[in-house]
Amino acid sequence: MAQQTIHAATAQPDGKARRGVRRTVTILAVVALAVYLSTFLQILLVK
Amino acid sequence: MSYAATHDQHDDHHGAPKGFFQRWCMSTNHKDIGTLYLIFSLTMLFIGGSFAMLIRAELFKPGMQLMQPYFFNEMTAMHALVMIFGAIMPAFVGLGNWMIPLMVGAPDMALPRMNNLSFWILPFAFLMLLSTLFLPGGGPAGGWTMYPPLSLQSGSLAYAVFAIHLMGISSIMGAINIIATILNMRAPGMDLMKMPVFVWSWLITAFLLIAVMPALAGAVTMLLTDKYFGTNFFNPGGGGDPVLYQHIFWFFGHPEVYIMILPAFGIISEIVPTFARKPIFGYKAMVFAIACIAFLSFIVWAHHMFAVGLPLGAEIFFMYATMLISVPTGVKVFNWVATMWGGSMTFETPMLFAIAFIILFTIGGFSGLMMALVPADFQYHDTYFIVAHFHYVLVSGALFAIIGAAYYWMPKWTGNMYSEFWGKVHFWNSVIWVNVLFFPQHFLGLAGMPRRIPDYNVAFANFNMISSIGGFLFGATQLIFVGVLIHCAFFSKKKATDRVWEGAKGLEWTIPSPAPHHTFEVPPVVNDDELAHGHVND
Repeated sequence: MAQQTIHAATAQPDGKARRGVRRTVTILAVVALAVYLSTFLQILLVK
Repeated sequence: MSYAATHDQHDDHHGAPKGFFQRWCMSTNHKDIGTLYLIFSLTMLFIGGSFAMLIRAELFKPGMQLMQPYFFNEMTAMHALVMIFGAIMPAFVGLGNWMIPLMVGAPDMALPRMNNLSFWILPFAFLMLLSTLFLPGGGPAGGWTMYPPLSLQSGSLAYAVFAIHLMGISSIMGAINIIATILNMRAPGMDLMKMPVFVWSWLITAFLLIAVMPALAGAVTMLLTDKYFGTNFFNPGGGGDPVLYQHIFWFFGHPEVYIMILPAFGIISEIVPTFARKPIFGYKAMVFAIACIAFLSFIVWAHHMFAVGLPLGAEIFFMYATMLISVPTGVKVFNWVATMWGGSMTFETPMLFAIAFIILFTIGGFSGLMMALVPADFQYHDTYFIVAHFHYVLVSGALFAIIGAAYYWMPKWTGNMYSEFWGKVHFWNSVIWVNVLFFPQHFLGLAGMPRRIPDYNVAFANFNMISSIGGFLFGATQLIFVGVLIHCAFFSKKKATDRVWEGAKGLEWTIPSPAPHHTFEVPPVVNDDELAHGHVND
């Protein structure tokens, strides 16, 4: 299975770039989940 | 095994895996997955196109000709679902997969295995969606918008909803992957404001996807619970509101329109400078215009709902907000024209498609501006004028950009040049027949022909016949495209150079043609003179 090297814009060491990917993925996944759940709250707007 | 490893830790990176299953089903390579996306989207283009042919055959003349009304309704709904979620969006994801790592100097996507999963969800989602056509309850027949209570009558709603959930999961994972790649894996020196416009367009599109796909998932989940679990989200009898569904759907649906056009803007911003042999005019303005369009897309959704009876204040707000979008869009169109102005232009097939995009997308944009006007929209609503508008934007807009991108990058992918003669035959036939197909639909709409009906007044007969002839010929023309692709990939004797096009600039043109299985394992040096948009800060 092909693996890869991470090299970031600021020439960060691999570990830092990996943490950057993890942080990005975590934040975006939480945002997506929050949007999904908040959609159901729209029902509160119905009179 | 960690998703990332240092260069020295692996020894299997010099070629593609042997064996069909390993190469294509287990692939974590961005180029292979990009190819899979593109083949999938081409397949779906023809499936969705065959539905369109059936629709145009039924509408060839007044009266019921070939099918029952319910089947016609299934065809209109499935045509849209297949084309939007199966053809246009996966094509952009495929292009993004192929080109974003090459353009930013990354060795692959940030999350290669998730990339594989994102793709392989799609064929199963569409198999499930298409299988509903053969189920006793029939497929979705309430339009791609699936408004309740009409959509709740479909016997296969659960299948359609599950298929949409899968597509949404695939899109969200793909978007997360693209953002993580662009933010974390650019080559040293590839600052954000040095990235190609295509990469910028995809970065912004990916944020749009993450913000709105979950809203669609929520809306269709509520449909599901209303039908099968006794909830009343959209049932007035139980205290719900069907208009609520429309608000949630279009909160997704309008940004979705931009999800299908922003990457096209990025593609045109790559092609035009190459064949004008000039840096893109106003790089920063182009980037900010994309961001501005993306922001505005969140505050215009109710312009799809003027006819439901919104408060006057809301109608005025959404009207003006919608009209505002023409400003950043105009910036983009003028900048493309300014890029061409004074350039040493040549007219290879990608450039022809790009120029056709600029002209025909602008026509679609203008008709969109017309229907932004609340009083006028009451006349246009649910007529063929709307059908004409969004097909100008999505066919001669998004699809033409995708086809242009395929011609533009195909030599880099395959290592072979395509047949310029047949490319031009494909272009001229496409551009003529797409106008024969969709331009008369403006007249039909203005004369009052409603959309989504299998029969119509004889007064509409002539324009419908012209439109159908254009449709059949436009569909047949796309077979030429398939022929050009197959010839280029397998039979072309003319080898592509590394740079391919004389005016091409950017990291993707510094690698050999065809692109090796693994690229940029050692970070490339970003030379500002070699950026497609020149020195941004000058």
